[in-house]
Amino acid sequence: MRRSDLQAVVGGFQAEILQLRRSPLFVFLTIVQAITFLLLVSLFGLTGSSAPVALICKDTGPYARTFISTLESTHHSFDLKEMDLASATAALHRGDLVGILTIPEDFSQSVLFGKDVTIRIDIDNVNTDMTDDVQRGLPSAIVRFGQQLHLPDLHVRVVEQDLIPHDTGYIAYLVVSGLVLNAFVIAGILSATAIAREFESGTIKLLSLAPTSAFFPLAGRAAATTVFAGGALLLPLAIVVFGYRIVPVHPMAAVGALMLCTALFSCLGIVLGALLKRTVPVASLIVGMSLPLYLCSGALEPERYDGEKLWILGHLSPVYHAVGVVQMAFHGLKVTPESTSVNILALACWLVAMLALAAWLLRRRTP
Amino acid sequence: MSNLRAIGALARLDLRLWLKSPAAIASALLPPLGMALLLAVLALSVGEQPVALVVEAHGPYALRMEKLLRADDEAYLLKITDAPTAERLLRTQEVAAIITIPADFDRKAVNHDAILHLKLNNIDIDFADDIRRSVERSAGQFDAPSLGHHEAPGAIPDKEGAARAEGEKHEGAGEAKAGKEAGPEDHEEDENNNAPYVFDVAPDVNPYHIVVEEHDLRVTHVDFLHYQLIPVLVLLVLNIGMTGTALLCAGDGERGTARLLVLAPVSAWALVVGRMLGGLIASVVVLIPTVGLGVAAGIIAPPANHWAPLLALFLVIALCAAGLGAALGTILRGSRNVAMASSILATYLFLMGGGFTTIAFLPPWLRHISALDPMRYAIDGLREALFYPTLTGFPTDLAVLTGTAIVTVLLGAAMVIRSWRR
Repeated sequence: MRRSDLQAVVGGFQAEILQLRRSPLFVFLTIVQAITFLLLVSLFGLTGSSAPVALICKDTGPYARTFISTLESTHHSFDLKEMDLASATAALHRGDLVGILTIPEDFSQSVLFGKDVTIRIDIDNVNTDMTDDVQRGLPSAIVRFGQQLHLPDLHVRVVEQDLIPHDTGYIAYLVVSGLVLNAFVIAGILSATAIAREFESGTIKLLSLAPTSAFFPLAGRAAATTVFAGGALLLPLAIVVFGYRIVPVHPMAAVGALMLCTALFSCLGIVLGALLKRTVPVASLIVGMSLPLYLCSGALEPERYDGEKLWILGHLSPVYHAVGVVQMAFHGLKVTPESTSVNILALACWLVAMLALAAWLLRRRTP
Repeated sequence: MSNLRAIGALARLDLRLWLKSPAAIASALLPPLGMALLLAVLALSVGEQPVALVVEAHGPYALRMEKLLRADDEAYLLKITDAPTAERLLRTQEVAAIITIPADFDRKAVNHDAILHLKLNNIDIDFADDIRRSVERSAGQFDAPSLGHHEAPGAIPDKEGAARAEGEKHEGAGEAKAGKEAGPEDHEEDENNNAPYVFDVAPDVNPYHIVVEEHDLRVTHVDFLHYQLIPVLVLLVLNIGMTGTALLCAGDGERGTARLLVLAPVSAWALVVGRMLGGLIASVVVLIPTVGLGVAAGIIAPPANHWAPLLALFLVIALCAAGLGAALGTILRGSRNVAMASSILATYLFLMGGGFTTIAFLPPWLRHISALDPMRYAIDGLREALFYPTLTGFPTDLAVLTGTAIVTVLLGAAMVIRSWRR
């Protein structure tokens, strides 16, 4: 690289930083777009457990209390709210509840004397997934209740052995995967826009008159957006750490993985920008791509649990390996069959490949 | 008359401009497409989980346990294998858990002390809890076949009561499953499996003494994919109407056409109506083939008398979107910012309206915010029109949306006229 080339890179870098400083609304919207993603996955995560169910308990006996506490502790199945029938029915119709559980007056007496007792559950069976959760949760609680009381005539009990000594909350799991997509959104939009803008505004033609290849100032601009995106990503990271209170098990690895992702997605953004040559559809394209990428990457659960086809498909995206690395860095979870070092190596390969593709594309598309 | 012609001319012009701008079309279409794809993949990941089943005992009790686990195909995607293979599958994440019926199962079952082993890769509580609940339910059904669900007709009075009275059929998947498991037809299946004999218990035996009586609020059961995918239509209309109108309004400032429009010898209000009509027609142009494809694929199949309400609903959503887009296009500068802001606003309206979640699960403060989101009424109305036999809550939904459309269109129009005059 000649001295003039280096000067062109530095010049491009400085120009892009100036451009970003002059576009606070654009930068703000890009970061909001990324944070929206955290909100989206959090909202989805809320539906994964603790179905809000009204409890109408007509029995004050000890077994009713024991049964209620069993319901509350059964695998995050129910979020019980004691209510009267009228307000519970109104709330159910309003869509504020999933169901109403009624425990009859003679519950404790029946349990004591070994007589059958019927508990009633009114369900807003608005969709089968939600109904299934309640339909599994209630028998599960009844089985646990029966075993607590050492009821006679039970033949089988379940003994569970967990591979991981602690459970990880669903939202905690989702938002960590979401951080990878935040890197994708921020770095991708900023770098793609920086490159597309040069084509859209025609600056690329002026650059051809410069005493150096147009590739170098564009590379400088891309480097600036990468550095800027790395800084901007600290905001969603801070939200996850301080807002969601998810402290990474390996903090340096977490930051390193996210910075690696930022560099990689920046290169992907350069490719998109050079292909699109227009700034308007950049954000929509990246947001539109990010959603399916998110789900095919093991963001909800280890990808292989969704079937071999989706798992193989997941390998076509760097997000799959990135989620594997950040889940290990934040929660110490192994969510891919591949080891963390293999995932890091795969990400590094992706980075080199995208860097080469971006450089090749820029050289081809610039005079 | 000249005003009407002006409205028509500007609507046609804007529609042509929009159709000739692939960037604007892509901006409007990509987020809903991405969301639809996301929900389709999501539907694959909820429901049954891959689980290995290792059966080391072969007596009647073990056979019964195995049959119960095999029958619950809504909960598990079972791979029946030996212990070493199961361990390998767990290690390579081909299964999420191993359920083992140990060799001493029958001997211990006689003494009421049989153990069903569950080895679980508890990476997150969502699928781990699903498996825990399902395995415990299966263990419970071993002793109490009826432990499950007993849907009782004529539950609490509800908005579909009338339809229920007409004798529509309940589907009660859980009940059907439990019934099948406990019923006499088991014996026929046993013969097919060449099992020597199966220990069976009477269907009404229940040593837990707790019977669940389930009453469903609604007649219809909607699967997860349809329930979540259908609201994407709202996002589609919202995104096209809002982004299209916003980009056209922003373009007035960028191209300098605002000055020409304000000098035109027709009412400014007529021109604004034309502009919003253009946005509305753009939404309709995309919506018609989308709905057509949905109908052809069987995803969209409302009762015949619900088509008119459905059309009205889409029209008011498109009007809301056009009004909001007009306001946004005048507030912000630059097509890039306008496109991004439109997309973000549409996403928030969709999310807070329950497009990606179930409102009941949200904390109260979010539910209050959601009640102020007009798209909540759009999504509720759409689901009601498509999934349910009656339209009890639909008039309220449509009234709220119509009110919102009037306010947003008037507000957007006033802002556009003001921006032209500046």
